[in-house]
Amino acid sequence: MAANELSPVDVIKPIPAGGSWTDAPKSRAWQNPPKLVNVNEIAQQYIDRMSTAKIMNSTLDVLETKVPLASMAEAMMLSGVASGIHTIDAGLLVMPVIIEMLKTAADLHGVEYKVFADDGMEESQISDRVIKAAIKKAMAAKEVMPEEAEARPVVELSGLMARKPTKMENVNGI
Amino acid sequence: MKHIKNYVAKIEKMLVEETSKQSKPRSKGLLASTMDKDVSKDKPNELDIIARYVTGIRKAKEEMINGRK
Repeated sequence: MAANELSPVDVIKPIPAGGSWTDAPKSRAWQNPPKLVNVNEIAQQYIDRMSTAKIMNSTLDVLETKVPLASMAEAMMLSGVASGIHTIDAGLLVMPVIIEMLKTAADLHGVEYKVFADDGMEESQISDRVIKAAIKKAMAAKEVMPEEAEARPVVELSGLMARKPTKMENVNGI
Repeated sequence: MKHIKNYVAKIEKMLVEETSKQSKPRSKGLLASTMDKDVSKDKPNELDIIARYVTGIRKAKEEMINGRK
C-alpha cells in the first residue's frame, strides 16, 4: 500500500509507550533545574528584558490588538518556564511585576488597554437569574400562542375571485 | 486567571496599606514602646519584594511622565 493511500487513522497514531525515553536524558529545559530561583532575580530579569527597545516595540504591537495585559503577562511568564529560566511557581509570583511593566509601557505610549479580560464586564453582564426568567417568560408565551391561533375568528371571504370554502362551518366560524 | 486577579488585588491592597501606614501618626498608647521597636526580618517575604518592585516601577513611570511635561 502506498504512503499516500493511508487513511488518517493510520497516519495519526498514539505515541508509543516509552517514547519520551528515546531522547537524551536532561535534554529538555523542564528536565533540568531552573536557571533562576530567587524572586528578586526573576523580577529583575523581566524588567531588564522588557526594557529593551526590541521587546518594547513587539509588546506595544501586541497591546494595540487589545489583548488583556494579564494574558500577555501569562504568555511571557510561561515562555520563561518553557525555556527553563524559572519554575512556574516563581513565575506566578512575579506576574504583578510583568503586568506593571506592561501597564507602564502602554501608559507611556498612549495605548489603551485592559488588565483582565473580564474588566468592565461586571456592569453590562446580565445575571443568570434574569436570563432564566426571560427564557421562562418566552417559553410560556410560546405555549399560549397556538391556543390563540385556534381562537382566532375566520375572516369571511367575499368577492367574485375569492376561493370557495370547503366547509360551511369555516365560513360561519362555528 | 481569577487567581492571578486575586493575587494582583492582594498586592494592590498591600501597597495601599503601606501608604496609609506612612501617613498615619503614631499614637502614644500602651503599645508605644513596642511600636517604636525596630523589627528586623531575617528573610523578606516574597510578596513584600514584589510589592516593592511594583512601587518602584510606578515611581519610575511617574518620573518619566513628569519629566516629559
